Amino acid sequence: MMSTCRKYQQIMHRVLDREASDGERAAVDRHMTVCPTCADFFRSLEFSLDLLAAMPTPTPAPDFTARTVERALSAEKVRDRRGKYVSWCLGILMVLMSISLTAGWSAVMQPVAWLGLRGLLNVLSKGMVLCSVFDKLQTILAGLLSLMGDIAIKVVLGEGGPVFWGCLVVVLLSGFMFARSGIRMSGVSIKRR
Amino acid sequence: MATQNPEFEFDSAGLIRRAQSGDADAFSEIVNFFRARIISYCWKMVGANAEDVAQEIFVKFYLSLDRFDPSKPIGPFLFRIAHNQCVDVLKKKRIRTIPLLHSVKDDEKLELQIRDDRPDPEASVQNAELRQAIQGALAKVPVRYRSPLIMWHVEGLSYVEISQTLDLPLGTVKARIHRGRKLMQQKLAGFVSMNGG
Repeated sequence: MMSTCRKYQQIMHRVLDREASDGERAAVDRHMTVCPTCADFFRSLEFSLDLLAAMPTPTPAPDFTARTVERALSAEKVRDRRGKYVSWCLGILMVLMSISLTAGWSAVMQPVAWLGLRGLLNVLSKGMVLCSVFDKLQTILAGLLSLMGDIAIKVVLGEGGPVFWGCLVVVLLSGFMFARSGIRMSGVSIKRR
Repeated sequence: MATQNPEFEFDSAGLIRRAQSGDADAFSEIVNFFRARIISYCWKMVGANAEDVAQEIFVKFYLSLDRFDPSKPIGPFLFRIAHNQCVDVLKKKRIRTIPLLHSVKDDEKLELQIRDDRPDPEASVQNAELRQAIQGALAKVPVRYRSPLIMWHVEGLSYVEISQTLDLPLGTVKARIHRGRKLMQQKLAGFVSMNGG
């Protein structure tokens, strides 16, 4: 194929794209009168596209719209129901994660926090008139922290430890599965294919 | 050539707002307006079961209405869902060729979409053999070329709309359509020469 023909065949695509100028159209027409190969190329290209456009398509069933609306409404109900499950699971998950974080934090940080708070309260109570109130508060808070730490250590590291962590893993997995199905149900993939 | 985009005469923003507020009638109007184009697109993309695929597309569209901006046209968004759904269906079924006219029981159910009066393509597609050849040829065009080709030449989407729909740069869309045209021409070469193209 001559390079001139290649050039004109590029312009033919621009003609089909409706982007060719009048001058380009006229040039293609002139070229086709002297080049039967390009004339055939353009005719066959145009005709194959006409065939594509004239391809028959099935007529939608008369109740297509009604069925579609009904299906969409029921799919929405399913999604809403699933959304409730997901939010419940996520809620439970959050509570369990908070417990585990608190427990972990208490187990590790409790002595440090206890010492820090005790020191702070000491400093405050020395300079204040209401020493007795702060002393009591200090005692109560120290007791609470100590109790929390003890419970946390028992739950996380003690006899109940394996059961607790097992439950946490199961809840995490089921929460993930519910969330995933909820997102799949409600979402439209917009990634490039 | 691409047909005129009829969406200009369609109050999509109003309908979307009504549908977003739970008005099933508004959604039903949207379905009525787009169903023929979506079914036609699915038919050309996946062949049989086009109506089921189209229904799934409208359901997905309905479920994602709350995230849709009413000021934007519906067409590109709907065709994006349609494209993704068809790609999923093709992947699941691993369709290499389109089952020919399986879902159409008789010719009365067929509706021709005639666009211009050049070498009488509508008369040619009456020929069942040629019709099968077109569908077979289309099925052999890879999806990445087939989808923009159908969107431009059959469904009348503009290049910009196709670019938004497929999330591709404008140049890539044009290149894919050009490639798709050439492939269609090659696949149909024998029939085109027999039918006077």
